[in-house]
Amino acid sequence: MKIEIFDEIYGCYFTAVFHILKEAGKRRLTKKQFEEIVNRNADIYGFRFLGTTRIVLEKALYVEKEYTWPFFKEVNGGASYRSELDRMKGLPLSDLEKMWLKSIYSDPRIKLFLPQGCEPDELKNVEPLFNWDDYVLFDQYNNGDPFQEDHYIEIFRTVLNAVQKKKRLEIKFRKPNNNIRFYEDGSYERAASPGIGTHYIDPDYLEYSERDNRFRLIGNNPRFGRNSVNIEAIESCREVEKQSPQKERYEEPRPKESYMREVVCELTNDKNALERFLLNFSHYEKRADYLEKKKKYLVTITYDEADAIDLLIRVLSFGPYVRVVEPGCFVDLVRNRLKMQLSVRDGPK
Amino acid sequence: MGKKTKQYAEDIGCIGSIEKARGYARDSLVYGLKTKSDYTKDMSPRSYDSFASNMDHWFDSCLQTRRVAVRKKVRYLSLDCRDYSANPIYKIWKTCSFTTNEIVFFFSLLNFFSKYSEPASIEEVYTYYDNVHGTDGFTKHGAQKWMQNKGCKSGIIVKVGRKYKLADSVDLSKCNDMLLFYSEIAPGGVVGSFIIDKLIQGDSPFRFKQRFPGQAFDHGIIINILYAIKNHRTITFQYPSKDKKLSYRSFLPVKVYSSAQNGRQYVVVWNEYKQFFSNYRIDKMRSISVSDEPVCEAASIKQKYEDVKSHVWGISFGNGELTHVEFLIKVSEDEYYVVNRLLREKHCGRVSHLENHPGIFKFEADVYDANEMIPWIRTFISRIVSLSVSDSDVEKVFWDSLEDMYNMYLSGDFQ
Repeated sequence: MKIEIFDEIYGCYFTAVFHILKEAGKRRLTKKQFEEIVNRNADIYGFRFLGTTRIVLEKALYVEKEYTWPFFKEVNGGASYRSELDRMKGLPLSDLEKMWLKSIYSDPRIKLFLPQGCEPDELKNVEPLFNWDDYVLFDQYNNGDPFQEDHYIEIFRTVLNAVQKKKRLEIKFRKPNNNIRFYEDGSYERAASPGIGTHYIDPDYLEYSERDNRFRLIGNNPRFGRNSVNIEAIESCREVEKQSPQKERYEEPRPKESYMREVVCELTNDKNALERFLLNFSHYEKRADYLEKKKKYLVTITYDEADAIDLLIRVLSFGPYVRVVEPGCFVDLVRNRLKMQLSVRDGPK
Repeated sequence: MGKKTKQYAEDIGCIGSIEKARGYARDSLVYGLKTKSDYTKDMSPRSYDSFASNMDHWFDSCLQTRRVAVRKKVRYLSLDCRDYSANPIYKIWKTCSFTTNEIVFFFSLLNFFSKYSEPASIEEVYTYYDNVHGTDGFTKHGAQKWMQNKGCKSGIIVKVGRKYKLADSVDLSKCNDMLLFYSEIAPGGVVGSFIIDKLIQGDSPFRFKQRFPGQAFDHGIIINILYAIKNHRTITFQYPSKDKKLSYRSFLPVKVYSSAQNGRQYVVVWNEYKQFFSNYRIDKMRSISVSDEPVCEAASIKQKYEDVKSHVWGISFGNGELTHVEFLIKVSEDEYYVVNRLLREKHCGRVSHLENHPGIFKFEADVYDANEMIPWIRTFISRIVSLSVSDSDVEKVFWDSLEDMYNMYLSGDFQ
């Protein structure tokens, strides 16, 4: 047996046509209304490049005299259209979709979105597609967010609601503290948080990192510009009214180009380093070039300046298989780490 | 537009089989190095043109082109995953070709059952369809075959005695956020994307950092593996050997291991020949199938896995022998984040602060494959006080590579 997900019933044409028929319903549509419905759904669900799906649907649904997909009829000599399939309600879920959903309901994070035990009755007798325990994120950090805690869930929902409604949030958060006390007996103690800070943020979105297993609120702080807050660090938050513009230095978020940077690395394909490196950074915008004369590859990665240290240690993990060549400031970061290493220990003893 | 011909499918941006496209598109995302002449070494120019045209259709938002030589261009995929609330690679799973008969019958059927909620015979359904499509559509036999092979098999149509009805709908009216989140992070998330296509229009409140978009190419394989694991079935798949030739292999899968840091995904299987566990990269697997019958010994094999898993650093079980790895790092009084890194990334290792050596932390682990730890240990370069590995070859690899890095970056400083 094989569970097949590559099937026309999940295809973009079936989806687009379903929404067109559902939206058209029983109404008699003018030609303009009809075109608008077709074009919009073709753009949402189909292929936008060269308007392919739109053109196909135009031809199949109404441009050709004898409709290829006879779902609509011309009325009043072509002045308006009426659906022949005017009772379209919903598109039922397939068994595969129900099984996938059943698995989703068994994940502990579901409480962020739905109260416990609210699995729909229709899924009661459905077999789950998979068990979460069988999918091991073996290098995920082990200090992820406390998704099960009531306080966290409450904060998460407040923030999510503000993101959706584009409301400004007043956020009180625990300030981080990186100080640590060491004791001779081998124990150590992290210093207490220096207190509670307050941010005002116009939320853009909630960002989830699978590696960190954390949610962050990303938004614009009207006084300081682009900002992010770990949901786990929030003590309390509430929606507030936006103040008058003169107190706000950053009424609009910074454009993305202003905080994106490039790093250029050179590498050979020893020990499959090329594939490992490129896959490792495939979630960034990047480009790879082959330098015929040097028999080496040049990879340019575009990254958020806030992630520079993270990128640095990921590049270090490749050791001598990857060499940072530009910019000079990034090369210096690598050199400084190596110099510090030399001062701590320079080799085997 | 009536036939499911190759030309027709191409014209509308659809394909009959995903297997080859999956490989080429992945190549464009991960490497992005090949020109047309590179591709046409193992495919016809006509096939390449067709693939290139489809890439335009599917990935227009993240498809890039650059010139690498006179009349030589590279088309590649490049995207910042944080810009997307939905993985753009999912589109490739929505490109299955179809015939006019199939789409017309499907929607006639849907409308019929939306109109008449009672179960209906194939005759009643066919009469309704016949009125909608006019001539040249499915024969009654063709319609019945579709009902059985597609409608009932997918679960969209349910058979009640000798009659048919539409499957019951599921109330997901308050599940938008849940679907928008899990369709991006859950195994086989593209299935969630299919559900979203039916239900939701509008913006998602979520974005995703460090999400590897290319994993989407393997959702079809992953869900079969996970289903097989849950039901104690074996999987059979094609896999390339060292000479790149594909051959069939069969194993009992035990777990899927997915890296949140480098994007690779593996299936851990019980290797009957070695009487131990092995792993296979999921992105290299082709043509998977799942056995119909469960494996009797599955429970005892899973217990064996539970017994040994605590010594696996990454995905390798090596040859079953353990290697001891121990290193010391130096931490200053304002660097709790370094200790935090050790604690959160320690996997099966142990972290302790040395007595009488304030600021010196010891990390130690006993693992099946110490080579897997080397890249991670390198991330602590600048503070590694000592490293000791019971397999001296592995230790040498680390110090030699560090020496190479000194030469690479600091050689001018020594002159």
